[in-house]
Amino acid sequence: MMQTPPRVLVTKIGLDGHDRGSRLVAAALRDAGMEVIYTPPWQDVEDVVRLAQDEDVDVVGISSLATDHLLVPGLMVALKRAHLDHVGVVVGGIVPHDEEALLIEAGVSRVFHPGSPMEEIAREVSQLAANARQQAPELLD
Amino acid sequence: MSSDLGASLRRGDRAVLARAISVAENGGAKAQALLERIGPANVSHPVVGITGTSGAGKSTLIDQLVAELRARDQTVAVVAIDPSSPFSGGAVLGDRCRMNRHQADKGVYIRSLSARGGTGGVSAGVDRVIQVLQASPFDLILVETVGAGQSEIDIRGIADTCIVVCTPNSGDDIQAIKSGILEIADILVANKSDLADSNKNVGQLIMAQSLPSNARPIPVLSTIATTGEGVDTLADRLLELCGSERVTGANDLRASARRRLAGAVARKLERHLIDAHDDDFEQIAASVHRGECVIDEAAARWVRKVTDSG
Repeated sequence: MMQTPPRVLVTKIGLDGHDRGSRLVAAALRDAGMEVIYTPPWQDVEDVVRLAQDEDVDVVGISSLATDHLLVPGLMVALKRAHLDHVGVVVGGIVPHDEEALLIEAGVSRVFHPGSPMEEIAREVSQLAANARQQAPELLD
Repeated sequence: MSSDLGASLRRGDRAVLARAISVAENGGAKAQALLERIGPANVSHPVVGITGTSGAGKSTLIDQLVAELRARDQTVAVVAIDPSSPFSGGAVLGDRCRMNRHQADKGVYIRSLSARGGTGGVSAGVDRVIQVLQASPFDLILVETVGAGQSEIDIRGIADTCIVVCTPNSGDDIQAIKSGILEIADILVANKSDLADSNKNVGQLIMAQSLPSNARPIPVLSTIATTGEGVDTLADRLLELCGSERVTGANDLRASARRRLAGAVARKLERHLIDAHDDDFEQIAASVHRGECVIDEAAARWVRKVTDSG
């Protein structure tokens, strides 16, 4: 287990404003002992990269209910460009099954579809956070 | 990356800053090594505490204040602390939601911290985080506390200057002369002054400040954080205060260092006493538990024991 709580950014990109799901997940991750940086919807890709960097998060969770998951491959490229490859990315919400592969190929670790148990989401995010910490560039030597 | 850590911070490398804050916040040997490498804090970057009850408008006020300070060419770092769960240890850090428009501005850095169990309005690691920020090129460091009631005043031991944010309908004129959080203010802000009863609120605060027994009358400023009204005056007064403290120089800076050290010692000591099971402490705690000794006398007894044995 990690010694300090995982830091997770829960956010939404694009024009979709349905934020009930992201709030629900934010609260569930809080209850699982994580530190959740929560933002309102309508962030753009560059916002998310800046947030991930400035807040030094281990995992980024993107909630998408209205096709904004298609912006995620672009987010993956932008994160890499900002040297944030160690940060784990998960997507939750409405993602058509035949588009899931597109996200996984782009580097997304996991897509959570409707009905995913909160315990499972928390467990996976926590595991991803632990991996991210191991892979993060070491500041001291 | 490591050898020129201090240089990277001074240059304003945000990736290094963000990582360094995490290491500092997490404490332990790594934090110690990091802070040693960074060197002593640059206390000429003033630390401003912003405190007040939950929902008083602290984050929204900071959003407007940052805009005002940026218009005056000041760069600003904001540390926004939100409470942690007493059950899971987790936290939802949502203060920065109110400051989103500054996200793309390179002259602004916003960092959310969890209180991580701290109960005085700040987190135990905030001192170390501030030390990292003082090695960075931000002119001002704003620290937003957890929503604070009457006595969560740890910010006093951390900040050079404190802004206490009050709202209408928070009690009568007796509340306004009570001890505690109102006393730590260098500036009192009566926010939400567009609400009914706000004149009464401002009046009560001014009345309390004008009592002849009050050695240090504190300015009371009206603001409407949602529109930014009054925030220009707040920025003026704040910069005046920060400037004067820097001009008055060594004495004030030393007083500030002493206050910050005393605060840090108190927070460390509390944690240590709870975790370490020191014999003397446990004996005295047991006698309090048995009702043989009131808590105040017990605390004095422990302090005597420690200071005598040294």
